[in-house]
Amino acid sequence: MTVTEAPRDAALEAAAAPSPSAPPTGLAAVVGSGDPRTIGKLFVGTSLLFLLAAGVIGVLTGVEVYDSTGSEIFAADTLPRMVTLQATGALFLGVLPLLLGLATAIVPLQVGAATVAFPRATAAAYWTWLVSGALVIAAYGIDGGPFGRDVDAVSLYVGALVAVIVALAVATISVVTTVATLRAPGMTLRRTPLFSWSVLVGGSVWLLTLPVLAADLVVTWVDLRYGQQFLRGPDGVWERVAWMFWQPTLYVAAVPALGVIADVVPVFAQRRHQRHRVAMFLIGAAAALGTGSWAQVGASADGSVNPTDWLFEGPWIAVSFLAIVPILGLLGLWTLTLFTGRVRLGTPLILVVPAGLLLLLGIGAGGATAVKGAGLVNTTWMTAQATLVLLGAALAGLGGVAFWAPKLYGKLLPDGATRLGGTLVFLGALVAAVPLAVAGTLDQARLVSGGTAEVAPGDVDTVEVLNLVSAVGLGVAVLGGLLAGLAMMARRRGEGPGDDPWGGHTLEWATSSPPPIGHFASLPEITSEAPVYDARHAAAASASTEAPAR
Amino acid sequence: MITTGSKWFFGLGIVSLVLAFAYGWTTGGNGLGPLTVGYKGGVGDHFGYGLLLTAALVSIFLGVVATAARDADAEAVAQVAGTETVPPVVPAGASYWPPVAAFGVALVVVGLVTEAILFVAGLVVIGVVLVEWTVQTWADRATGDPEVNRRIRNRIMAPIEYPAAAALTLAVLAVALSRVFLALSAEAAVWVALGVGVVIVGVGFFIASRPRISPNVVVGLLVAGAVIAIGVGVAAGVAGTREFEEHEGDHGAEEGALPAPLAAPVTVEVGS
Repeated sequence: MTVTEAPRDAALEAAAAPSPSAPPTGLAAVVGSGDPRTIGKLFVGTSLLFLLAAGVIGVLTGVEVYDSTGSEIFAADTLPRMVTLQATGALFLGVLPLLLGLATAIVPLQVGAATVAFPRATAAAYWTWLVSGALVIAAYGIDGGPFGRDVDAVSLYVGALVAVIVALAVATISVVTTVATLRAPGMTLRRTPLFSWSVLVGGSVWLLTLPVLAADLVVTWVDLRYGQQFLRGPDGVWERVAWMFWQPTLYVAAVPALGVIADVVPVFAQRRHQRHRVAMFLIGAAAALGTGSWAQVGASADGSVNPTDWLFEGPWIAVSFLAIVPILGLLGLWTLTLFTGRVRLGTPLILVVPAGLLLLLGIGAGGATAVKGAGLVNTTWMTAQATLVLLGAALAGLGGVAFWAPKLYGKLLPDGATRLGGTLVFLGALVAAVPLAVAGTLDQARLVSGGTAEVAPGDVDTVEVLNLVSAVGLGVAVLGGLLAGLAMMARRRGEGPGDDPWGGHTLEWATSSPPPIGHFASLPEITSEAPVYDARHAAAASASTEAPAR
Repeated sequence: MITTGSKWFFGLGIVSLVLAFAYGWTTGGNGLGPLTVGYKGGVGDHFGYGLLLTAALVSIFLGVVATAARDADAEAVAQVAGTETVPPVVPAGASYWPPVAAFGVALVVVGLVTEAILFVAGLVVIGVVLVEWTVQTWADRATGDPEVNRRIRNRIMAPIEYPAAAALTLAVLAVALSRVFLALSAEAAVWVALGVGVVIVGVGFFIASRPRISPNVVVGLLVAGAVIAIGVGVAAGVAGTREFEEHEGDHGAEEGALPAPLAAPVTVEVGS
């Protein structure tokens, strides 16, 4: 074993050199890859496909409830299952992995690391998420999922969703650890780019939330398989999951989206982010307020009552209103940054600003939900709120993909298709959410718990039209997502985008596009949160002082 | 030195603590109850008070940890390691064990609701992945030369992997072919057995006669063979076995087998 006793310094030097053995190519390079960029791209691409599929299901359910007297597309008992499939797909197979994929690819670049902390664990997380996600969908196909009639298939849904959650948690641990421990020399936490910071704080809260959900599901599985005494069998499964789509837990899905917006805005304002420290605090506050595993539907020993003691109690009301403060504060800082800078209307900016507005509307709607007399809890008002937050986060994710496309794909996305796609997603989200919110004020219950049953007879026709308009809106959003996805797949034309096509501020713009394995040959000196911006301005300053001398 | 991360956690902890006290008093607490965790008076609503107090204690604990670890700043890592610069992190090479692990997890999940054998198979796959992954991770850090690391890994694992893979291949082949033979008529089974034998010998001869054959071709042939064997075996298993004729009086014994023991003892006289 003498070879294992090679000096560590020599080993490290050799490790920095390229491998002498030929790296795998083609499918083998994808399947066996431990490269965070490759895995991140896989996460992004697959999650967008799942998001589109969830959107299509949403359109179908919207058309289905256009006529409350009869079934147009699904059998009557299938509608609630389809609603849960749409929600599960949108969050666990769509928005969370989209942002996680972006983080896996970009965070190591931003903090100056050669890779993520646990690259193979991240790869295992992706494949496990993918296979388990397919099992979740397969469970619906054999009469499973919440409200399903086949107990084995319902159990398969529960087990597969636990595997999905574990996979997401493992990938989250990897990126959070990367920010916490692999930052380049000089990059203190205060100098961490805002996207990486948002991944650190948002991911930490994901790690406080996802295991709770997994534990919920394990208990559900035990109840399903052994007697169904306490949790009402397949009909009670969704209650164990639904709190992920309620405030405050819903908001934590959007925290990395705030980081995306915060990194894009100053680049296109061509100036530093205003009050960087305050922005860090506000993003941290958004994450802290999204810690919501305490606000879930409880279970009674006799299985008859589902206590929600927290509903309309002090902490829940306080969190519902306080959650608006960070997003308002951040929007204020971004407005200030844009107004004090020289704005370029780049495609990423055009995507992320509407995303911020959608998030504000969604979180604002949560404040209204907390008003006890309004009677909005358990109505489609909450569906509208979830639609706004999730589509806002997804749009910010698309903006992030457009922004970091040179690093992800070695190309810029086509402006026209990407802008049109993003605009359609934004408009579609509004048209999908607003009618649902109005229908909620007319007492339309969430579609998993009764739909139009409580609506006054005179309002039923109005609500049905609102549902149809909402379905059309979601269809527009799906079309927009499809356009943006096609833009991502478009071939690169002409020369590459260059290392820094936007005039970026943070470390990822100090390496080539796409970056090599290992990411950096050398790093610039890091003395602020925007080292590349610093270096560019220092070079410009020295050039201007040298020019008169000549 | 109180680091940035510590400041965040300490701030959150103090705010949560103050909120816990305020909430304890405003929801029916009295005396020093909220300050003494209910030891000297009431704390009002236990749920909200407990939630805020827990948030405060966890935040303060994390603040202490962040201070002790100096926010994991690179300079601090280098200082602890006793080096001038931070040790570089080596990018991971290609490995197919992560997707195999995902396959194992899927088997476990499916096995939990269908057949126990799938569950056990999933655990076995995950166990194999853990061993392989551990050895590969160790070997990746053995030296600075990836090629040397690969040889080190192969020196340890190849003596285990090759016999195990061979045994697995033979087992799969035996089980799959046995299903096929049982599904076909007796005469057809003989011809199929002959055909399979010829194919195996032919492929072996083809590979042996071309020393420079691409490894991809060999892997492709083996994968194709495995897929065909498993697929045909599954199809034959689903089709079931052929009908066997019962022969009267043979009591299950086949031609050429030893006769069944006699009921009465046999006495053999030796000499006279």
